Amino acid sequence: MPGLEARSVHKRFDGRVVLQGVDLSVDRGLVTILLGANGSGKSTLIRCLTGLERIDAGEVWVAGERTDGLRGSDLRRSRRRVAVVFQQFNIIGNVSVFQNVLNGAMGRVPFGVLGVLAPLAPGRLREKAMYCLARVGLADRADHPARTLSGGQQQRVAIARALMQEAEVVIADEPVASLDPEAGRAVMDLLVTVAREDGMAVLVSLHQLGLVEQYGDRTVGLKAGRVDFDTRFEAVPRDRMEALYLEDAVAQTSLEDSA
Amino acid sequence: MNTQAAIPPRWRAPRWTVWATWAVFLAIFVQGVVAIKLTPERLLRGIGNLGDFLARAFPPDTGGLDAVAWAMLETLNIAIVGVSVGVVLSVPFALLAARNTTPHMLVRSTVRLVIATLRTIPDLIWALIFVVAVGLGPLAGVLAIVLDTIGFAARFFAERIEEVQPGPSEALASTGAGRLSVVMGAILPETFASMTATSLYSVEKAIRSAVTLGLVGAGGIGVELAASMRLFQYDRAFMIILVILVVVIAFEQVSASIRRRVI
Repeated sequence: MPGLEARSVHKRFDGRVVLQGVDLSVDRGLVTILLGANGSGKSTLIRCLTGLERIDAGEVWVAGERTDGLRGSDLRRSRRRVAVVFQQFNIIGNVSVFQNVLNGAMGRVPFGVLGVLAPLAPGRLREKAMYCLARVGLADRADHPARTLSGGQQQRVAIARALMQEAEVVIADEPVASLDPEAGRAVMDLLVTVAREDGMAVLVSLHQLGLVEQYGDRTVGLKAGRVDFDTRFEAVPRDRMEALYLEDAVAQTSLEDSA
Repeated sequence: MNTQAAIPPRWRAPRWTVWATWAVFLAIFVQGVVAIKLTPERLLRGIGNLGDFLARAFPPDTGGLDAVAWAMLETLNIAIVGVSVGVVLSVPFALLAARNTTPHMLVRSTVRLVIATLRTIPDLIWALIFVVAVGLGPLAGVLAIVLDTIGFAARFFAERIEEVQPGPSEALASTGAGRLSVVMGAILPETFASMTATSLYSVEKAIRSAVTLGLVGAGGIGVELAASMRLFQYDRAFMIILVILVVVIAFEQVSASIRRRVI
């Protein structure tokens, strides 16, 4: 049973078809990379899988449980099982790094935010947060205001927050797009560790073809709202990947025609 | 370059509506000057009287300084208690009034209407109403300041909340946190500095209004000032004005230094 699965997912915005029957499965313990040009539906697919966006047709399964169409507390409970890492980090700049990591547990503790506030949180959670920070190599920054960290460090804090969430799936939406190559590799290394050591199903969307060969166990190419290729444990031919981007303009036009 | 457009003229005749608007404004202004009887003689006489006032105000009477100090303390109490309560109440009002945190658009427009009403009615009128309701004294002043603060602070809090980037809130929502947790975990920390600055300004504003609230009997140093003026004790009145000046300037300094530290 895969950690995360999309079955024939359809999504349209204002009558414009963005996803037209996407099948995707993300295995536990592996890093699946999602490639696709701007407008290919990549970001929309990511948002649908995280439950931040509703789908029009199809199914989304998280660890054997169907999650599309859930509402209210059921939706919140399913979100808890999927940790999200964002391109813009989305950590809270005005509070400490430590508090940002503790926030990861907000959805699974009683009393929500009150249960994870640094002065009130039980010792068990505080220790766990420190352990998560140590895993991303930022234990010495626990007390710093999060905004004082560099972009790469902020993204590692976001990964520590994801670990704190004790999710089964990690979805990272262009996690390295705002980082320099060095910081980007550190983030990718951490995501691989999360897959291997914690057995999480990791889905990473990327634009950097150079990172695919190094980090992808499975590579999925998305074009015009459809899966263009899906390969496991084998190198994707470079020209095949580049074609996703070269035909961007053509794909856009045909997408609008079919809408 | 045959498509080159002409240089705009230096002067273009205004439309007749512009002329008409100016004419109406001028008519209202002249009518006002006449109705008020704004004449040079009256202004000159006023300057003479002012000289008389100043002559009698000097030197300021430091005799009843302790009574004045107590009255000033009462004014500060009215301002600080009123603003504190007002700011605490402003937070829920602002959360209900901000587009991104309101539970429903109908709630939003209702709360915004309430806030606008509180802001539109001057604090002096609130004080007059509360003097009727709870009697003369500082409690009426405190209640007037509370309402005035909500009208002012809730509006600015709501505007700041609407400017918050959606990203951090989305990140907390994706951990499965509830709405209230997202607000307290992401939105309040992001807006804290700005809310503090607004609150400090509210205190400055409230100290000034608490002085005038005394004039209608809502407690504090304004009561003393009104009494001195009515009894022609201009030297005492002048001292009261000096005390007010010192306190207001001192608090503005304190407030500026706190603001520097927070932001």
